[in-house]
Amino acid sequence: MTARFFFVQLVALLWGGSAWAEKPTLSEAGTLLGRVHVSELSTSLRLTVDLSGDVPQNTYVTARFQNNRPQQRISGGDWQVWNEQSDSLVDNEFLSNEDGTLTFDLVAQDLTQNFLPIIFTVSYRTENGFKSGYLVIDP
Amino acid sequence: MRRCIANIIGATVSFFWATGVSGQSLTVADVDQIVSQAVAEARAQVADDAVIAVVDRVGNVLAVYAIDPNNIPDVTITSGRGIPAGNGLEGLTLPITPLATISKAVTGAYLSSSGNAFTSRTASQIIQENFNPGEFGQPSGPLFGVQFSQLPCSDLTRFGEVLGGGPRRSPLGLSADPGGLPLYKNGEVVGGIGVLADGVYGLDLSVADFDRDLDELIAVAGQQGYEPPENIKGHRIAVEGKLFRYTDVDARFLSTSGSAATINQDSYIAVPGYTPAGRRAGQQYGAEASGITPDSGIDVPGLDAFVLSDGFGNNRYAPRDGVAPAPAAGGITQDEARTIIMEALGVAFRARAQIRRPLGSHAQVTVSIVDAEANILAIARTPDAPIFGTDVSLQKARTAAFASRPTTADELRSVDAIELIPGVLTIPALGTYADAVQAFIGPTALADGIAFADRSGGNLSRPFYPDGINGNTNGPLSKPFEVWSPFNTGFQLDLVLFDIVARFDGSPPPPQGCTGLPQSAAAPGPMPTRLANGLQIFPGSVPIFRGDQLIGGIGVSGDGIDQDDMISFLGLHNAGEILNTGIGNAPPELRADTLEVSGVNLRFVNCPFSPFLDSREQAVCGGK
Repeated sequence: MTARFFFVQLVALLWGGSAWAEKPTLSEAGTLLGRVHVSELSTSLRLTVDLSGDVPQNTYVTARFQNNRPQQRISGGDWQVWNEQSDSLVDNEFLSNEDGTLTFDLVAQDLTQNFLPIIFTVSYRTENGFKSGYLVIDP
Repeated sequence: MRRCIANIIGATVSFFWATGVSGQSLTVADVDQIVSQAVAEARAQVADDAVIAVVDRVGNVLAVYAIDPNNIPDVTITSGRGIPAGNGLEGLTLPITPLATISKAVTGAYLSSSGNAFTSRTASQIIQENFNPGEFGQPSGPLFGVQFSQLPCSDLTRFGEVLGGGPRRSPLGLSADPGGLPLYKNGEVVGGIGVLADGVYGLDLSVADFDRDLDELIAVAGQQGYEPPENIKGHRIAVEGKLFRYTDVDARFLSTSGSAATINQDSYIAVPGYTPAGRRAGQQYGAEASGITPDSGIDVPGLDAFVLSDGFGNNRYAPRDGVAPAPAAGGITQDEARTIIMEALGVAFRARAQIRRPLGSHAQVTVSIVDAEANILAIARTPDAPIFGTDVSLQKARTAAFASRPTTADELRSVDAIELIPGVLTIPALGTYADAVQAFIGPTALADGIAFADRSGGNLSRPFYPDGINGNTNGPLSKPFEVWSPFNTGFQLDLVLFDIVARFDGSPPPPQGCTGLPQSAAAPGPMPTRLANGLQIFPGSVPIFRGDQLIGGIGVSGDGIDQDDMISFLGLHNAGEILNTGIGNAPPELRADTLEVSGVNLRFVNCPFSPFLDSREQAVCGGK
């Protein structure tokens, strides 16, 4: 786990859980889930997506900064350096909800003191490959 | 205590001597003074709708002042060659005057350093079809194409209204419209001023005369008291035996002699995506907050190198492993990236500078390394390298890697036409350029893995082929000369035109950067597109190979183009010798200079005569 991204104070952020009337879906090409100014964030960052019948085998959360230090979330909520290779992604073991959606927990930290923008990518692997979407936190 | 103070002073002095960076910056009082001087001259010239921008050295916009904020006129983009609208940016009249002034100010700041002071008029001189402009039969300008750098869609440059680390983006790229000047304090460049008062964002088609340009006159007034030392002004520096043009007017032409006018604080306007209303102080270059700092000694050990910083003490682009290909598949390793960048900087520190004073200075450049899919592996620079070379070196590295892929033609064909202004301006499908190159060179061009340096691709991007022979047909990546201009270059602009126009509202860049080209496919999520900060078409890069496998690119920018070529080519070669891992330049038989096109071989690199300060070596790139 590196530096600044996780040294910041733990502030309960809650954003995103009800941001969409209709839950977005992920795609093989990668879906833009939104851009948010960091000052608009207030509590924990969580994303719920519509699976559209997909059956995820593994789930992943990664974060890219505007530099060479991409990271990935590992099960339990800690983060570690990631080499941007698909085969080194660590399963976060998020489970599907009963209504056919999937909720990704991203972070529960104050993001304002980070090097922005941060691009969070959520993805899952099905038997046919990856589907992903990304959320941009702008300065 | 006395010894402690002495040590601090000693350390400060040695830092200055080592880096050429002494910690100057623009204060709020400086900004007010500069603007008030410009306003006084604007009023004296009855330029009551002038707009004035001031930026710091790393591109933070410190102020945009509209004399009449309720009456900011539109600006017309034109080269003055009579090319109608529907050809790139030519002929468009748009409500973007504040953005144009910012671009002019950024140009003055970014092209300059403690060893050279250039202006947007200098830029005009070095981006046209002949150097000098108007001298038929001469090759194109040495920085042909640099105007489309620092783009607002770049994945490298910083963006937003918040004052912070640079380098920052420029809304229209770099400007060739006279009226963009650098600002200096105690011999150190601290920013730039840009003025637009004549309603035209253009260029100077001829250096055979001296214009009395309204924008430039007002900018010169603003610059009074913040001028560069006389001996580093552009007109004291020569390339190919030709002096650069600094300005066409100077203080003798001012109506106000640098006196100040009363300014209205409400006239400091907000420009979304660049600055809030009001004015502010600039960042001190070299300090953490500027985004460019001395290396800690860890990432580029043993060299007086600077790096890009994230504002928290971390190197943004510390050397790392390649992503595509990964080291396990033959890609660049972290150690190789570090060795290449150190060897390239080592060549720069030995190289006789082309564009700097005093004579005998070493070259000042930025070096970027990417993998084969445009992922950034390392960036580092010499201390006083002009800021523009940061983004440009990355453009060059990516351009060399992209053009050398065996999939380049197919990837170009994946980008469809865009009707940008219905009925007026359509951006062609990029496949038309792949078709043109294959018709020009042969059916396997851009599909056979031939190694293209930026110089090679640049040969194909000029409005005359071969370069400089007026009346010849255009290269396949250029528009025909009848409609060509620095505002309508061809492939280079068509690749990013949509991205530029889409950012006129100040919106942030897409996370994958500019262009509709494919993204790196190493992993899920937005990855950089192949040319994520745009294409560059003047020399200073080579692709990186391991054996006959393309694994990346190295780009260099900041000094003369032959020096940039040499630093990239020799830096990579020397690193290969040290590493002995098979990494190095492309095998000679794969290089683009093996291609004969219309009776002329393309060029790969061109290294300068007697290039080093510490030896009499000649032909230093020969046989490598």
